[in-house]
Amino acid sequence: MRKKWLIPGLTAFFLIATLAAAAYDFPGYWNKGVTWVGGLTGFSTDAIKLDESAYRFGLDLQGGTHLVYQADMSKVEGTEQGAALEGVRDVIERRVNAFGVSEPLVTTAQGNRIIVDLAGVLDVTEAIKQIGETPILEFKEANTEVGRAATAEEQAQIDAANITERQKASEVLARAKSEDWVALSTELNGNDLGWISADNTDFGYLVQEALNFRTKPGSVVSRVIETNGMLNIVRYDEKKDSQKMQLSHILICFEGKTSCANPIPAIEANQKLIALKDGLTAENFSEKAKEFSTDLGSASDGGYLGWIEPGQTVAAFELAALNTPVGGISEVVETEFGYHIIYKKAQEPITVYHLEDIALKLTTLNDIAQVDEQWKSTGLTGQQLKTATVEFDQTTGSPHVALQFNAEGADMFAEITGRNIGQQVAIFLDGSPISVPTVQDQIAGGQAVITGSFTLDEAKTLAQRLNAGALPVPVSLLSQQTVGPMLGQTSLDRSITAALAGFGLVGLFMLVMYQVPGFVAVVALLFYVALNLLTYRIFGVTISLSGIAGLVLSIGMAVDANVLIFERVKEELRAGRDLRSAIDEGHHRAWPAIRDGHLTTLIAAVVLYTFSSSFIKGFALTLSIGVLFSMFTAVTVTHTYLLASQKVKWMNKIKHYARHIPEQK
Amino acid sequence: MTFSFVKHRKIWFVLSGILIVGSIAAIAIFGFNFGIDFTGGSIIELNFQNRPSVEETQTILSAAGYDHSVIQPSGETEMIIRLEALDETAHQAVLSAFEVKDPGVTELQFNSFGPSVGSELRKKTTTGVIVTLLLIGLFIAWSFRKVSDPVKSWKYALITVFAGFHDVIVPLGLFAILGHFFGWQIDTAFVAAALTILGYSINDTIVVFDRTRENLGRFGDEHFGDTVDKSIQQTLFRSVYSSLTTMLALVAIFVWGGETTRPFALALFVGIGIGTYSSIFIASPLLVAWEEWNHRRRA
Repeated sequence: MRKKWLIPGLTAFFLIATLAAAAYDFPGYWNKGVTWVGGLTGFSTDAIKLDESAYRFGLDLQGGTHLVYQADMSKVEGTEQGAALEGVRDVIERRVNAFGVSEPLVTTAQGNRIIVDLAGVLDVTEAIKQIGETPILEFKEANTEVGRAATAEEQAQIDAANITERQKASEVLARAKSEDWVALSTELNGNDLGWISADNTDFGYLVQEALNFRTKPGSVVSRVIETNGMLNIVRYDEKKDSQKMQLSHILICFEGKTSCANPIPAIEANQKLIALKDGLTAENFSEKAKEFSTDLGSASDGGYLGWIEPGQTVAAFELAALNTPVGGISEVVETEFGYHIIYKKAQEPITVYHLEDIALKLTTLNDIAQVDEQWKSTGLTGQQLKTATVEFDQTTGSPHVALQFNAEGADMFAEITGRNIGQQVAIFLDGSPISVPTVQDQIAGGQAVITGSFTLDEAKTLAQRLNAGALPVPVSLLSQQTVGPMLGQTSLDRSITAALAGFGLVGLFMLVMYQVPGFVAVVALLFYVALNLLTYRIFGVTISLSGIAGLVLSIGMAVDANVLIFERVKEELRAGRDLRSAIDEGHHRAWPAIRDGHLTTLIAAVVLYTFSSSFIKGFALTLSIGVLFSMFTAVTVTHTYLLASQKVKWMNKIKHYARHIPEQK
Repeated sequence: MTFSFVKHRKIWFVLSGILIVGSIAAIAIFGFNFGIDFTGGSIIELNFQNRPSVEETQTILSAAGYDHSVIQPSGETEMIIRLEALDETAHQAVLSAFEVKDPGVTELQFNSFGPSVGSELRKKTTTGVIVTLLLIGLFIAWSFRKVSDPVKSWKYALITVFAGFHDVIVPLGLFAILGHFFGWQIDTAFVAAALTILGYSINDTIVVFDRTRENLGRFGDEHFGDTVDKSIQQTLFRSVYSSLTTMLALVAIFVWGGETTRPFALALFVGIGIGTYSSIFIASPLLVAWEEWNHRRRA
């Protein structure tokens, strides 16, 4: 037997739940209501006010654009496709976010698809243009060249200037031959070039010319030497025999030293070096250099610096190298870059010349015309990038982004960094610079690091963007569905009308056909609708045109269950049962049919959801939610209400359920 | 009520035979007018201040390089144009061609589907229908597993699925005719309608079968045909009322839901009507026919 309080208690609970759900479904009305009550009673009602955020409407109801993109994965390995697609999705999402559309939705779908939902009014053409561009990563260097030929006018200007300049150089040469060099050099900002060989990459030419013109030590070269847009007046001081050395080194830089990427305290660097030096041999030098050297330019080559001529390195370094025997390892040397240990592999005698130089500039096109672009391409792009990963600075723990180039990229990068030491190289993504590091040294090995004050998320994002930019995954627009805001509003109005009318017609039908139980069914149906809307709001179900159709249809299904039950109750009454047991038995007997019918509909809805486009998904989703709720409201809730209504005099007559059956006592 | 649905079954079978053959013939003769989501293509819906005539529109489109177009005026000021699939550049070009003609033109809707999307959707839809039928059939065979005498539970399943097929083929035939004469299209929404009809029709059939299942347990000694007839009559009001309520909801969608959902509502309306008919007049009598045929064979 049921407990006495169960039916009235449950009935009260369901009715209150209906009201509560309705209040939550229509927060605007609820808030107006409590404000009104607050006005009457004088209590503050803010605490019980509800958030009025709206339902999530589909693009067909609020206007917007639904874009489906196909990512071309033909050049990506199977295992990497998932990550690549996510990368592309993130890039598109960031671009989309820049449009300022409210709640843009970028999702991936089966078959390497990316779906972009943009709500509201926007410039679709511009949006499509920006989304469709494949991310482009480029390395650029400072542009110093005017990238075009001089016009006739400019050429005349240059020629005229050059004539004057050459004349002036001749005058300086004449003065150099007769006057005191030191005074002249000071006056004209001359340079001491130091000891250089004839093979020196920068100034070897000057040595060769000095020798060609048979200049004697201590005198000025008899001609003006023209190189690289410069007019050189050169004094040959003296020559001596020296050594060029084939050197490798290990550098441990530390705090306060020039161009130290990851500074550590000096004491720590010292300890590191002492530990390192113990057991260091010619054989394992290269290996140790790879492992420990902080000179990124040479570390990957085992610390190898090549043939070093006098004057090419800082004095302390050169001296230590000279004092090291061939095949030997030096003591620890401190220079402005940090602590070094040098390994001397070989040594050859060379002759070096001490030159001094007064250089006068020749006017070129770059001097008279403007540089068009601040940056110029180096040819190194995302095409040559292998991977970008987030790494952490071992000392400071701050994240940075490490790049690994492929072989071709590594060579190009070494070349680019080599010619831009001390200058900036810019990393461009999609045409704007994202990082402009200063090159500290030539970098071989194809590894680069983008440092900066990144948060971890920023570093991750950057790595993702770079990986996406580096990946050859072009996207193409497969389909576009745009609904203008005007049509969206019309559709919304219409579908709300249709939903209300559908509910009204069904309710009217029930009242006419079943009177009292029909009324009970309609009250249960209100709970049903309130529960559905509640679910949409809580779980953010997107309400689309087809979704509303699904709801209206599920109302039909819910009513169907009631019709089944009421017809069954009628039969049980005809079979001679009293009203109360007929209600129980009617529910009991109708249940298998209701269950099977609802489950088959649910099967169809789930299949629909799995196999269809987003338009149909909305329909399948609301239908599924509806079917699940109607099994509860149309059966349990209606049953409870019917039993409760037996206590009400005007509702508990058999004639309300079936005609032509005599009332029982 | 003394009317026997089972006894007169030959009439219903012939009627349904005509419906099915007619529908298949209509499909064979007219074919389907597939929507752009199945074939690839684009649809532009424009609202004009001064709407050009269909001929003028044709001229504008031809000048823009589109000779194959379907132009359909809609409402007072609107025009629906169907073209091949357009990329965004082409789309803008078409729009500006109309803007030259009428600066007050606004775009209400634009959809474009590449051809690959269409073929994929066709494949998905076919799979979807087959999977639905299979799952529902399996479910019924399982649900009716306790009643295997005199008719095996898999026969209930097979007949239910056949009734579902019956109820989907008729709206398909209707849409083939509507598509040919009035340009109504079979699109994704229609597929949703068809799958819903399946679920609904099968629900209807199950309600009657469920009653047969119950009555077999109670009056097991009766003639099978009589039990089925009794079951149909007992569930008759329910079947009619339920369909009526759902069809009322659909009338609301048809009248007030706007043009986009109208074909969808019509397909459902017809399908659910047919579904009710088939659950009463076809599915249960078929069950009897099958049983008697077996009986005769054994005798």
